[in-house]
Amino acid sequence: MIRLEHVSKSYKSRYGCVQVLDDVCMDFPKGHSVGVLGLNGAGKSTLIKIIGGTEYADKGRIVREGKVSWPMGYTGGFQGSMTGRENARFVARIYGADCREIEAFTQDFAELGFHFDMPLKSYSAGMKGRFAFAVSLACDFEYYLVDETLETGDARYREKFRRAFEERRERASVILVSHNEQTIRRNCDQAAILNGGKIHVFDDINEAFKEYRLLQTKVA
Amino acid sequence: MSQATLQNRSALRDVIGAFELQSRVIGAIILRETKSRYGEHRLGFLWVFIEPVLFVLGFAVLHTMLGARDHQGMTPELFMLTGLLPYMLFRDVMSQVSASINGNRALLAFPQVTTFDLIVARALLELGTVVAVFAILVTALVLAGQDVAIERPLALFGSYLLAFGFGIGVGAVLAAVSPFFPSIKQLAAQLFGRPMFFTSGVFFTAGQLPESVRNVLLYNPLLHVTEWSRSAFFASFESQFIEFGYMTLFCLSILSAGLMLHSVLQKRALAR
Repeated sequence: MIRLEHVSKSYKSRYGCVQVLDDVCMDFPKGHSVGVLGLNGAGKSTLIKIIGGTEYADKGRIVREGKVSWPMGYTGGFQGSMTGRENARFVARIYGADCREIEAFTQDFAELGFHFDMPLKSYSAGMKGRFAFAVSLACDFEYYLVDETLETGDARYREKFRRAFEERRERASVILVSHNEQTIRRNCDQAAILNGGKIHVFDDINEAFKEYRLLQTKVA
Repeated sequence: MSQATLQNRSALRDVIGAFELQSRVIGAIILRETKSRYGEHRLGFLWVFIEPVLFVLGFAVLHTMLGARDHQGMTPELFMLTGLLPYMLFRDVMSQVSASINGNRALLAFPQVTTFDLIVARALLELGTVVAVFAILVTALVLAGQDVAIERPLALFGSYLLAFGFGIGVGAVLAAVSPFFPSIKQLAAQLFGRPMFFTSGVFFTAGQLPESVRNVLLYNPLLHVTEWSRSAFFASFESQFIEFGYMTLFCLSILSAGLMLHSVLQKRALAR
């Protein structure tokens, strides 16, 4: 279970104070995958970072139970001067997983070959992306946090990743923020809209998209 | 089983689980930091020996030249080593902790890593480094034929703990405040660098000072700590000037102030 209790977050920008989350209460129960829609700048990334503990809320509390991933595809938490293997081992350690298992899975799934024992900073963007996704699959999270994209590498690798992720999704929940209908339809069974600091949850996913399209036209 | 005991049990399990998680995270960060600090260059670990070795050698040569080998029953080498340890412990822990959050901010991407873990990991790694360096140097002196018998190990441990806590405290204050006043780090470097080195009793004891100077320098809690650690180390030396209350209270207040400031300001600092 992940629960937001009266969470507020605002930013100071050049145009004044922007309230991204305004006293938000929301449950993300286990077994449900929720997609949060939002226009550009609505605070989707901030929401996922607050859920993941990368950023802190101004007010309120976040309850996390179970193994929660870092925002998927995010490579900033890895250390460039350490090898892929060492980085994978670090992740295994902080999640209390078996180092050797995580290493083996990552090496195999990321298709890095000998690069797995090279410093991460020598990787190409594609390799780094493959590495990051492979590690997060290796960890077997109960919650996968996804900011926008679930795609990396070439078409073949994308397909391979998609199948593996789908299989994970049978056991795990996904919290996904996106402005893309397709991504949400494919991965989520519930949808919500983040707008003006509030989150509105819809039971019917189609209802959410209808509302979201309305929102888009209003802005345009 | 009654509802209350069941609840107590699950609360206890939560606490134990949280403790396990935190030690796991801190352990992983320490390993990673060790790797990136000492793993990249072969000579990485040698560097940390250079400063104390130079000081000890310089001090010993100077004393031999002056013909004053005896320092109230302490050899100049051990005298210098025992004075340097609390000072370096304080200084290095302070500087590591003050840079701990900015240097490792990226790790906050992982849900279970908190700023507190970053501070504790850096502090413990530095503690380990300094203590290891000194253990090796003292062993070297023993092998060179010097008489080393630690008089009161527990008191020695206590004094290092105070220097350690003092370092964490000042470091945490700096880490918490520096996002708002970046220049405080330069100020702290000025204040805690050379002045602290010259007033903390690294190369003298309080008893060797003229009274007027001593009375001023005794406001420095680290001087008390150094005196205490030397008294604990040598059978022949017993300082008359340690005020336990002042020393302990000062170090512990700074430590709690640092941790409190950290918990109050850190989230706001990261949001900027």
